Amino acid sequence: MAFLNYEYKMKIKYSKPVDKCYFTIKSIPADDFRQRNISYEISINPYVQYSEGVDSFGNIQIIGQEPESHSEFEFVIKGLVETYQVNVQGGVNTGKIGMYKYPYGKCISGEKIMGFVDELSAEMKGLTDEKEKCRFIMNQLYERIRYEKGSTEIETTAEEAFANGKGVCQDYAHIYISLLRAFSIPARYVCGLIVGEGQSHAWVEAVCDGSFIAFDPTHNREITDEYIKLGVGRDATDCAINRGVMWGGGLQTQEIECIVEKYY
Amino acid sequence: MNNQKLVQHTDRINTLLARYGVKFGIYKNNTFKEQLFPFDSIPRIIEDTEFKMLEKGLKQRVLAINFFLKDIYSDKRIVKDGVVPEDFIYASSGYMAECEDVMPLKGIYSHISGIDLVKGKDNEWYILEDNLRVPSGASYPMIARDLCRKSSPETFHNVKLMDNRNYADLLRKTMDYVNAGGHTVILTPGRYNAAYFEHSYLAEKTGAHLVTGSELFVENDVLYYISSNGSKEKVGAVYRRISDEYLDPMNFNPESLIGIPHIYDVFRKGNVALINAPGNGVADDKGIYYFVPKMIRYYLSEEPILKNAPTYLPFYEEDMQYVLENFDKLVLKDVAEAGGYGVVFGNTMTKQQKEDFIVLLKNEPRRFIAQEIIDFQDLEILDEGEIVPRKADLRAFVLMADEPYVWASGLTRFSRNPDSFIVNSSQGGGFKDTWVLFQ
Repeated sequence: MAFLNYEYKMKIKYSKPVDKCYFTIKSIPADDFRQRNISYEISINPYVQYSEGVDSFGNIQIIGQEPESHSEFEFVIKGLVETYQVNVQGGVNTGKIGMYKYPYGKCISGEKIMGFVDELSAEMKGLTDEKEKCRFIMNQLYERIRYEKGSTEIETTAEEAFANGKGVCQDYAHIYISLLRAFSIPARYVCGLIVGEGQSHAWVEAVCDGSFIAFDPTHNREITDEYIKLGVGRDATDCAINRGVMWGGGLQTQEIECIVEKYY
Repeated sequence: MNNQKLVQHTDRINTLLARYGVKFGIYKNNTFKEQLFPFDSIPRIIEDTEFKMLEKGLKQRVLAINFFLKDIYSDKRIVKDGVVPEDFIYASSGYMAECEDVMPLKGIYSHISGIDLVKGKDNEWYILEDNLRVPSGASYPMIARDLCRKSSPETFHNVKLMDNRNYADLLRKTMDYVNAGGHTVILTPGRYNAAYFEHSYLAEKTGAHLVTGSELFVENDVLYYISSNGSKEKVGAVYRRISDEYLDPMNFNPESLIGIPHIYDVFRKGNVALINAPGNGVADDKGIYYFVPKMIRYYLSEEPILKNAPTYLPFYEEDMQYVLENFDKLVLKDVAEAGGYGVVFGNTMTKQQKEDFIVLLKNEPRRFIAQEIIDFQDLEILDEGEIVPRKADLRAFVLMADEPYVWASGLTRFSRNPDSFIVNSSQGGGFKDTWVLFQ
């Protein structure tokens, strides 16, 4: 068990003023089997009115608009979360995991990934335990892909990243999800924060024998109590921390600062 | 009944329809072309007893479909009980995960359903497809009836004909029933949409405001409309004539310029009604069509009153076998296509086409359905002064408020090509008024 203090700050600067914008921010940790949201505080600059809601994946979302002209938009969330070293959640609602079984969005396997699936199937003949399968696939993926900052973009798909043989956490998660789904293991994308990293992180929750188990394919390990989950979805788009529509604005640059520390 | 007078007025009515802007636009080779929707003045006539049977069957079907949608976006009992395989839900392009656990006001998903039927030579009616997203077409028989009555009032003197000009009242009642408090608007993508005439006509007849996306905006979980004098008015119901994916760039296609950011979040909180509800595409998918009779049995414990065309799902081994053995007498449909596209008749394919198609079918069995070709009845139409028989279908409209209501009319579409079974207006067909008689 751990208490984690976190602060996530996102600042967007525009080369030309934005006349108005609408935004959806998914960055408030929801309670689940391995974390409890104790407190949080949000500030948005320029000051705007916003409301909270829950999306269809169970993520808490902040919805708002800035109707006045602005050239900077800043969002900060600070909070305290209690996390537990439990990584298995039983009693998964089978009616709600179907959407995580099928190829979708950035997790649609093409020829390259399917070729890898064929290779893996041959080696996995003896494996029956689903968790063992997940571990095996994660290991193989870790051997195959190289972590390289800046090698991919937000819009890169699992297939594209896999074909290039490199990527960042988002790509590892997308490829891993595509592989798991190809092996009929329901898997979803997790966006979150971890201790000691200056930006958001991504990992995967897979359904093994009726329970969600969280794997971090970028680090080739199961997750620990140093992880804070912010959102889940079929792929990264469903739980993007920030989504916006704006009028005007020209070029934009984004700065992200993120700190997660153990509290005690 | 004496039609002669009415038939003589055909040209005059078509001229008037053109003047009123009864057209639909189609995109062909990337250019927008507007064409007239030719009207044939010989009505399709449905007798009282026949209509009562259709009415009962259509209400039953739409009720079951509504239960299905409610179930799919919540508990999915019908999947758990093994009636519908989950592949047909999640692999359907109409299924939207964003609709999970979002209950539309009063639990109504399909407020306006356009159900396409044909009458076979065996005198049975068969359902061809359900249109539960943004079915269009009601305005055409409405305005045609109006013009016919004006052009040839004597034709209507001694006929026991159900008035069809109450569609606007029915629609208004349907929209008001789910209104969350505020104005009612009809949301159109704009002037260059295929059904723009209909959008403006229905707005005028129901007294709703006709708006485009740029006239609506969301603030603090409420949808507003900017009125012509610049004031900001709360909107309680949106009869939206744009498809799900373009409705809200914050929740669906981010590239959409015709949508309203956050409108879906307002809907999610129950502060506005969207008519029809997003996500309905999962129930009018050509693959799901096969399961509608099963839904009726499952949710209503009743036997279906109206028949489906005999349909096979190559997804099931047994059906695949049947399809391969009877390929030449079947029509094959790609479940992802609409508007008469993606439909092929086994007996019109060359040997090579057939072989290629079978390879595709075996690779993607979920993608196709196969149906027996229904030999449906011809209706008489006037073609350059001569009366000739042509294939025709019927789009019946079922509106759902406190209970389902079947409009006593409908859009009868016919093929102008004597060899074609495809009556879709985007493929150049015409339309007729549909007369329902009473006793």
